Amino acid sequence: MPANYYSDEKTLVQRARHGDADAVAELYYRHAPAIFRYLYFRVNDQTAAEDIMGEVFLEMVKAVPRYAERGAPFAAWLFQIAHSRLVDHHRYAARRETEALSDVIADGTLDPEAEVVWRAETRQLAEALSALTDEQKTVIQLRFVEGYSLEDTAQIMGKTRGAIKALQHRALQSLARKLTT
Amino acid sequence: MTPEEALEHCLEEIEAGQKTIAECAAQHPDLPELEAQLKAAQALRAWQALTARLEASRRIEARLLQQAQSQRVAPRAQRPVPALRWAVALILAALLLVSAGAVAASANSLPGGSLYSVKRTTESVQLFFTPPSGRAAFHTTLAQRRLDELSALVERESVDASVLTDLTTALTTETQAALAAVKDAPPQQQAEVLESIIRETGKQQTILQTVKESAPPEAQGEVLRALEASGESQALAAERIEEINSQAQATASPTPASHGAVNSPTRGRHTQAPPPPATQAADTPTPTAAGSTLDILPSPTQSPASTRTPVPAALTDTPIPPPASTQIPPGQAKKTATVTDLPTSTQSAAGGSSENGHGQNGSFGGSNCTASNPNSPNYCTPTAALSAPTDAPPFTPNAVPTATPTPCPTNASGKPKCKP
Repeated sequence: MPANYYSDEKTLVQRARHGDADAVAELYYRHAPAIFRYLYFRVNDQTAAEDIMGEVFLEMVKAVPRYAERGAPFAAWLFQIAHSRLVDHHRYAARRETEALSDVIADGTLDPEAEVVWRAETRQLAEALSALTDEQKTVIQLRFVEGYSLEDTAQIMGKTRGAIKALQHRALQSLARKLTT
Repeated sequence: MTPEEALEHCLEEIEAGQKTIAECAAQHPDLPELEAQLKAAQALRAWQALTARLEASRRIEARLLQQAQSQRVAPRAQRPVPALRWAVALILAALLLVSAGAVAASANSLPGGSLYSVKRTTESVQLFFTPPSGRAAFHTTLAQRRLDELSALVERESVDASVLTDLTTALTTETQAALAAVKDAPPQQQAEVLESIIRETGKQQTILQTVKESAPPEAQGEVLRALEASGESQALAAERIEEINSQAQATASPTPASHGAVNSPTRGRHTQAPPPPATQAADTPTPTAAGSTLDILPSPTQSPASTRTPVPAALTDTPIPPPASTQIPPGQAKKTATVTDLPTSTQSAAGGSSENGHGQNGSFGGSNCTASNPNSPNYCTPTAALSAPTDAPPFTPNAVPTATPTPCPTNASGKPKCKP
């Protein structure tokens, strides 16, 4: 993350607390991809992940006036909301049949040939990921998909650096074994 | 290096472009799974392409902006004051009104009355919030109230002994507290507060004497103690004024210029003047420093002994002090020496108080005529000389008082009826 990322984000959050629509939009576009992937890794459904993501950010707008900054990245708060909405989703909604990963639309930057390769790789990865625990999934996503540092990941997950190191080691070990078999 | 640390180290080096996966794995032959782990981590980056559909993103964004706008436009409209808050506010207002009414109504209550406890509690609260500099005056006011209550109660046919005891104790306590708090008052106000205490203790002794005559036997002792304590407080107040005068003398210069200042509108009451000749002091009533307090006392003129109110019988065993500058209440002989040793040079002080009715010609007479209490042995009836014309001759050091002490009747408020 850029050096001024978090200070800039504090300003955005402050503006969003006062109903600044531009700040709300900026926060949404910053965090929507990570939240979507977090949700998608767990529901394996494009539409469901999008719907839940809509609820997560609506909750963000409603609750941000009461948001109290406690040193953790703003994303940590959003992941907490996403987790709560995910629990609700699993509790009340009928689990939909897992949508094929090949139906997930990528960002459209891949050429058809590369997209075929991507889909093959991601399918294999998706299968391997499904064997991970929820914590391992989160560490894997935050560290290697979203690009958070060890410290940020530790803050978001409320764990120590050592715990994150151990989690990511076990998660990558499990993935490696699945992918090499 | 543990496997976890080796993995993290390699991830950082690859991220920084310092090494490839193969190079890093080659460095750790003891970790056969490291290369596969690093490849899995790299493969996961492909998932960054995973994203929500554009139309879904725009739909969500539009919903969020709408919500943000609604929260911005009507922040107050969404927080109506609940009816409960109004109810609480009304109840509090009603309680406040009732409390304020009770406090106001309690002002004239007497011991035994339903609101008397409210009155005393209110006084305690007021005292708590009174700054130390104002506490002497406030204690004096409280003593006045207790005395007024005592005065009102003795007019009744029968007064409960416990009520009398409580009131007289409170009277003594407040008076002594006032005296003790004088030191915290601003220096320029201390003499004024002390004079007020002298005046009030004079009244106290008058009323306590009356109370003593009608009090139940079981309350007699307490009334007597209050009477003695009042006299002590009065003497102490007078002594403190003398000390203040002495300090003023120490700083004042006994030059003619300073005497001129005495006659100026802004002169101090306690300005020191040269002492009169010793021959005069022997047979002439000599005002002293305490005479400065006379300008607030009813009659400083020496009067025939027959005009004095008899000393309370219970106190007649105490020697009446010789003529002195300050009223020494019955039972306060031990204070006499101090008082009579005071300088006798405060004619200027007394002369300086001519604006209060005392002539500059020394017509205030004997130095023992300092009491405001008609019952006091030091009380003297006013004379016509008290109303000396304002065009009286200017003050002259060593001037001998020449006015003839002439009894003059006083009105109800203690002011002389005589005209110049």
